[in-house]
Amino acid sequence: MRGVFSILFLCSTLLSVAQSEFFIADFTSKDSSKVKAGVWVEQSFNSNVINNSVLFNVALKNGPTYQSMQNMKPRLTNSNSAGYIGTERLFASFDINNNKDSVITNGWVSVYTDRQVSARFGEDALRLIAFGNRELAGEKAMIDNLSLLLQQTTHLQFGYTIEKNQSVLGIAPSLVIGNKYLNLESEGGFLYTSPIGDSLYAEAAGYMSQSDTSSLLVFDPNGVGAALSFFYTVNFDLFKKNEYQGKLTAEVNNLGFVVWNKNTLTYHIDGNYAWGGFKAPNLFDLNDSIIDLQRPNDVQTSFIDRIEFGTRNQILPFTLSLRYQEQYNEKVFLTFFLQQRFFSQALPFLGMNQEIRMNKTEKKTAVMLNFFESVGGYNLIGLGTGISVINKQIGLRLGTRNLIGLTNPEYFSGFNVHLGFQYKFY
Amino acid sequence: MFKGLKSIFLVVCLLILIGSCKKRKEGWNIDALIPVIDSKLDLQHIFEDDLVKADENQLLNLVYENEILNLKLADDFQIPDTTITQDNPGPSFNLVWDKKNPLISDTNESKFEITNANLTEARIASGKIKFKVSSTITEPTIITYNLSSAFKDGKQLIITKNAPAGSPSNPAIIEDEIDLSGYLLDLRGKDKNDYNTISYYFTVRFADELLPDTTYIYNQDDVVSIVNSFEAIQPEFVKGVFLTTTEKPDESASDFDAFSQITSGSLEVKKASFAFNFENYIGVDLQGQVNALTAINTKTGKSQKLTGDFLTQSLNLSRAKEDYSLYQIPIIPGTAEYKLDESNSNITDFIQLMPDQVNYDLDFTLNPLGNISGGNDFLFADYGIKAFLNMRIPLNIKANNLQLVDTVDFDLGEADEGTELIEGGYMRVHAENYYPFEAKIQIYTLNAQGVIIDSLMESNSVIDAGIPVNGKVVSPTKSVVSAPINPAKTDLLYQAERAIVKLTFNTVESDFQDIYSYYTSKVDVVGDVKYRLIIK
Repeated sequence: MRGVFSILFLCSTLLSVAQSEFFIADFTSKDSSKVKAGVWVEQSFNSNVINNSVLFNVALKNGPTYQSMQNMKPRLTNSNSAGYIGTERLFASFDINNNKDSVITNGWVSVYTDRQVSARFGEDALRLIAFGNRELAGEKAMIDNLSLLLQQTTHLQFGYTIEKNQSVLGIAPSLVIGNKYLNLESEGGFLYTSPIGDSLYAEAAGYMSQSDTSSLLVFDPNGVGAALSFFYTVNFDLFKKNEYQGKLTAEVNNLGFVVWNKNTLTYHIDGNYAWGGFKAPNLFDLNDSIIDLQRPNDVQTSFIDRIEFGTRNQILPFTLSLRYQEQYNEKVFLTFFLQQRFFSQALPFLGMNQEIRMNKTEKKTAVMLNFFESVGGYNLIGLGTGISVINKQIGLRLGTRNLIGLTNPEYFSGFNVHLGFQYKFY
Repeated sequence: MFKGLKSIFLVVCLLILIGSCKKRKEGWNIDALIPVIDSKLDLQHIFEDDLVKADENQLLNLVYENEILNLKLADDFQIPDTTITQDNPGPSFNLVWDKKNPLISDTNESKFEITNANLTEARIASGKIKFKVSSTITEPTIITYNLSSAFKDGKQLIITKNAPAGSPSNPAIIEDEIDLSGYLLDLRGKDKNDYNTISYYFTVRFADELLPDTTYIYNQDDVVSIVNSFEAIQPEFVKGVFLTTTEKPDESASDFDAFSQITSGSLEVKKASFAFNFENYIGVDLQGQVNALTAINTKTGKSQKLTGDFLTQSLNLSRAKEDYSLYQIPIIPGTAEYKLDESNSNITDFIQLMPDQVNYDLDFTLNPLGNISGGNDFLFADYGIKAFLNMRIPLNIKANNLQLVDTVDFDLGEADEGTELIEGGYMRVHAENYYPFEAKIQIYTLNAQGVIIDSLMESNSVIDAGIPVNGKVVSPTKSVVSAPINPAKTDLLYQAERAIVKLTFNTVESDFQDIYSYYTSKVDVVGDVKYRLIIK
């Protein structure tokens, strides 16, 4: 029975999910299949302030409503964040050496895209963009706490695991192709609107880098790099009173870099601009020629200190995870994990998953109901659910880590949907 | 043209035209405050150029100078069309004439029938002499006509013509026309002691003194007739003795456009002054009489006669002097000024009518004392008697719904992409006003047929008055007027081809208010709009 449970457990783990990452430790396999092939798709968004209604309408170019925008106001803090992670992955894993001595090895190959948007912004910056400068009249709207990273990369990953004495070590180098890149960092700045709106003054400092602007296709290669993922799993038993053994895994994902090519454009921003309207010594002197002479055509040049073309090195946002998994009883499988994504605006993420078998264990096909709870990341609390269907041949998983955001998109944030499919060859 | 009102309209149109508000799905609306115009509004610029000026106490005055009379008397000193005919018949007997001698040689005079003057000299601007000679002399002759009174560039007018042989039944006819422009006519006659008189010298000689014979049988059948016609003689300058006459201008009304932009309402003034300035460009003494001066407001139909000492006085104007060292006009006019103010006339009533026309009844007597110049009276045709009405009104006023109106043309052209993203809101006109009167603004747009299709400003858009302290406004009053923007109004704006701009002024205090030159109204125009922000 335990073995059956273990097999089922191991079959399912390939499709386990954490915050929105695909743990490479899940490639470890101890079933009798020779090859597993599958696909994994996941899209996640969260923010402490941007609600789902605004997100969906902006993404679909419908235009968020005035009320949707206003609903964000009570949630604004001095420092806010928003993040998006999207991935589409094809994978195939295979046994290399099994049942020989006490060493088990397997490998895998995986091709996947990794899309990330990570933003940090102050209260004033969001108020300016979302609501306009009218409500900030008479104040300096600070835009110094502003950071934005948009990045898409394509990875070709090769992995190798070795298990000995129930400890597993895995390593997976990747070739990284950089597709799209935009990075904006503010080093200071503000917009001042006078109380009646008769004058504007702006200062800005920072930089903005962007990959080849003439590149039109989404998967155009505009950079190249490398990354390394690795993990180590050991036995650890948290729930000692049950008959099952837990496992503790430490994993690092996507530790690497991309060198964006020489067509990468960087604007160095350091300037100011003042605008008080078209000026005439007397209202009756105002005419077309005065208006043409004073048109504010030089706003951009006032802020840009210099423009550079050239390669740019970017460290990839990588994650560090610590995960504990244990079959709690014959029907319940538990996962706890702590994850931190570096070089992003995400806070530490603490998650718990429960996979509960809904049908009898004697059945060859397991139907699992999954529950997800989380704290941190780009928002505070996440609650989700999903379903898995797994048998000897096929594994299917569908779910969302964030139901709250879908129940009331006008007020709540957070969106996650994941879909996984796997087929085993014996 | 009321350029002030036109500019106000351009300002508002500039602001409102950006509200071409096609609904866009993408993006979202933000509330934006956008500075549009930073400027000032001065009373000096509302009225026509230089109509408002500051005096030494910094008080503004409405200063208006209007020429109400430009009386030229050249028509009264015309040289009338005159035809002089002279027949020269031969003797009643056969006279053997030596052809070496002129057959006829005669000096004659003729007097022009010029009324009102005994002219001794006239410089001709235009006109002609038509000259016709008929001859029955049976041999070719040379006819010489010398108008010894006429000189041009120092040369006398001499015409020499060859006449063919004629006969009593078929006389030889010679005709010619001479342009007299530029000629100086000496009208003193041949002995230089007459007036209005020209003299001329006429000779007939044989063309061939030898053939067919050296002599000619000259008798009564040989008649040479000469006809001189002076036609359309227009003098440029005349001199002589101008007889004592009384002249009355043909025109009796003059436009008065100081208040042309004011269409309604009332204006009360405490003080006003008129100065009547006369300039006499004629070389005669003049005595004038203003019999009546009436202000007329043709819009209201009201009129007001001016009363005052001025109207019972004889106005004496000294004669002009010739001075050919002067560059443009060789005349030093005689001048006189007569002043009226609120103490010696009903000038304030006259002004408060806000006339657009002044009717006058004037007489001028030339040389009231007769010939005291010794025959040196003169007149240039283009110059006569001018009268100016110079008005100065210190702007110490009360205004009651005083309305200034002007109509302006405009063409907004096509809306650009940026303006289409503005979906509503207002254009706010923030005013800081020193002037001690409030101003209500409204702008009406008209379509091609001249029908009013929209009003731009909110109703009761009023710029508040400055509050005087001890007669002076030291701190401006702040107020805001607004022009709403929405898709419907913007569509109407693009349909409009003209606009009527109306400003209505009211002083808010019960006393008369001084208007100082430092008073101004600072104007900041701000777009307070809903803008569709689209991030691409």
